[in-house]
Amino acid sequence: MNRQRGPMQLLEDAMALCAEDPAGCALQVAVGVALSAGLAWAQLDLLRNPEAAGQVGWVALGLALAHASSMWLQARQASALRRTLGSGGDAVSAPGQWRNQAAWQPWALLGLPLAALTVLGLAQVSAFFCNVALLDDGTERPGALGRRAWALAGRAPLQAQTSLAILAALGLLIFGNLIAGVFMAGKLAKVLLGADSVLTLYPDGALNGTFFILCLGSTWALLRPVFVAMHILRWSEGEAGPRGEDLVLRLRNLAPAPGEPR
Amino acid sequence: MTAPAAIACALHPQRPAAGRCERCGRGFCRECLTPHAGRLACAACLRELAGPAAAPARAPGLPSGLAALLGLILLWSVYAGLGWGLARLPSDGHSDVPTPVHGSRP
Repeated sequence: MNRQRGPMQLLEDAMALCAEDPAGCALQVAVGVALSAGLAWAQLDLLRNPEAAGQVGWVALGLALAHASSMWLQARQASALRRTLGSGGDAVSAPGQWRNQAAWQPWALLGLPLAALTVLGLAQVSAFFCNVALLDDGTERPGALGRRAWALAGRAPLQAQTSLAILAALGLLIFGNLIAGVFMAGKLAKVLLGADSVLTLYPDGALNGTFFILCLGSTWALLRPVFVAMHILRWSEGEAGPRGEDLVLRLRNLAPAPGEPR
Repeated sequence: MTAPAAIACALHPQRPAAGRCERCGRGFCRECLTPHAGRLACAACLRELAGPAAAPARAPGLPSGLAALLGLILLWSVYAGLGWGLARLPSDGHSDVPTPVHGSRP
């Protein structure tokens, strides 16, 4: 069976897959928000602290290591979701996975903006970086992993583009809600508790780069587990289907071990 | 002259052999023979022809440690470049210095 889902069905199934591992997804979101907070803090410190310019190298090193570790966590989460789906992800070498992720994921900082310029290429390039996370069990060399991830990223381009567009629209909605929510929280604190904050004292100044970095980063962190789950399902359709792994999974679900309660 | 007795499949004795493995010469039924490189072979010979199930050969390319180091250098360069760019901005030329709302401070 090699059924191809529609984009809405794909996103719906991806959210259901995330719901199977809420703790892992929550951890991934928390790390993403923490990384965004670190970026926002670094940006603010560099703008306000005249002494900070001398520490740029060390701050950049800390952020680079935190970024690479967050990408490794994304790969770990992808392995966990694959286990949930019953499609491998069992034997994973953590150091190998960290090295492979550190080798590939930084290129997303250059690759994604360049792909965004072509608009239609963005789906395939973003799928590639996600596939690098979900296909990685830490045993392959980065080159072989990259070739497999690229081959899979080119599969069902219309499905990838449509679901990415829907996810982007959802992201815009979350981003707007986050901004509104933060401002409303500030106003509520003022009305209910009489507590002033930067949001009530300087409403114009609060809408600054730091605030937008935090909100954009949080939006990205919230959507990332769904994006990973979506590509795991695409992988399951594309690569696992022809090998019959999806049938094995179905049979496993249909036939529990004797005496084992369903 | 009598017709030779039908040969049974080496794996399924109740079935007549449909042909011989061209490698080991034993008779097999239709289901047990697979065409391989233009010849019919049984499962055991196919396994031998395919070779031992060794670990996948290491693909040529950068070792993962070196590639990871390059990736980290790239990450560091991007963050450091952004940082030095921000540090060069004049401190009064950005929007992060909040403007107090009129009348909200004594």
